[in-house]
Amino acid sequence: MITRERRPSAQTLRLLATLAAQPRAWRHGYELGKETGLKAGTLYPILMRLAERGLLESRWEESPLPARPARHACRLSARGLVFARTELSEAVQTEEAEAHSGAPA
Amino acid sequence: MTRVTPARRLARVMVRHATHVLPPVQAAWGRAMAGETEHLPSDRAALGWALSCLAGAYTMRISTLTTSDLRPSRPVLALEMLACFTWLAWLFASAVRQWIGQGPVPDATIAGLLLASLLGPVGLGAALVFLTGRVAALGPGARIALAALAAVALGTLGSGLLLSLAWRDYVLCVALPLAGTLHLLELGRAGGRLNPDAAPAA
Repeated sequence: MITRERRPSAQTLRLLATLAAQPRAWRHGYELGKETGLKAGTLYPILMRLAERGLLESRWEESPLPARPARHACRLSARGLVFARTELSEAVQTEEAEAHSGAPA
Repeated sequence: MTRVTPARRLARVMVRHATHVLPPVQAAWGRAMAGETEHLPSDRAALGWALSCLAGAYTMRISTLTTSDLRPSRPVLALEMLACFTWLAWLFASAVRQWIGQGPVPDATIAGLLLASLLGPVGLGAALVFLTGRVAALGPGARIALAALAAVALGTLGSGLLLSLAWRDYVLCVALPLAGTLHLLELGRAGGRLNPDAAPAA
């Protein structure tokens, strides 16, 4: 069971959406940063927290370039994918409800 | 061999520092940041990336500190408790020596000194219990007893009823034992578990 601590931030939702868009693909930090528009200083703390909660799986990939260190790649775990879809759909519902009620987003 | 530019070298230094700043449990993520820096397309990107990594690492570190529950590593706790209670324990030992010299019944001053300085050996003993991991937590009774003992010791010594203290003695006999007692009470309440991120016991 996934225990929810608090609603994910807008940045976390953006990252979850990016990861959930290609759930089987292993993604690198720089690529994720470019896609989400998040800087490393925001991106990595979010990744760390997701990993701590078991929502992320990661691996090290050998670099195809010579004399470069291994590269860290990650993707959503099965739990993480469920979590991402739930949170993203709730976020959409909340947004729609706020739009209907005329409340500010 | 590829030449490493100063900008790239600076980026490496910053990311290496970020790795050290991160909480130990996140060390793998520090290596991830460092590995990623080596794959960035330009020096400019690497510098920006490294700077942001550094900011993120400090943010993580600070958030770990602010959610900390006063659980130090064993070596730190041992040093802290020695600093807090050694002087009172020495005072207690002196009082015992004087008592032995006097005979079976101590006079009022020695008896008062024994009671007031009892916090020293008790504090060291309680610290030892946590350091050896023999108890998980102090019960309410033990915490009240420790607090009462501290109140007697600090009230008696702090008010100068037994000894006329100089400011250094106030630090050694009152301020440090008070700090040590408060920390022990907090450890006892929290379960006495020491910081799992810190160095293990010898």
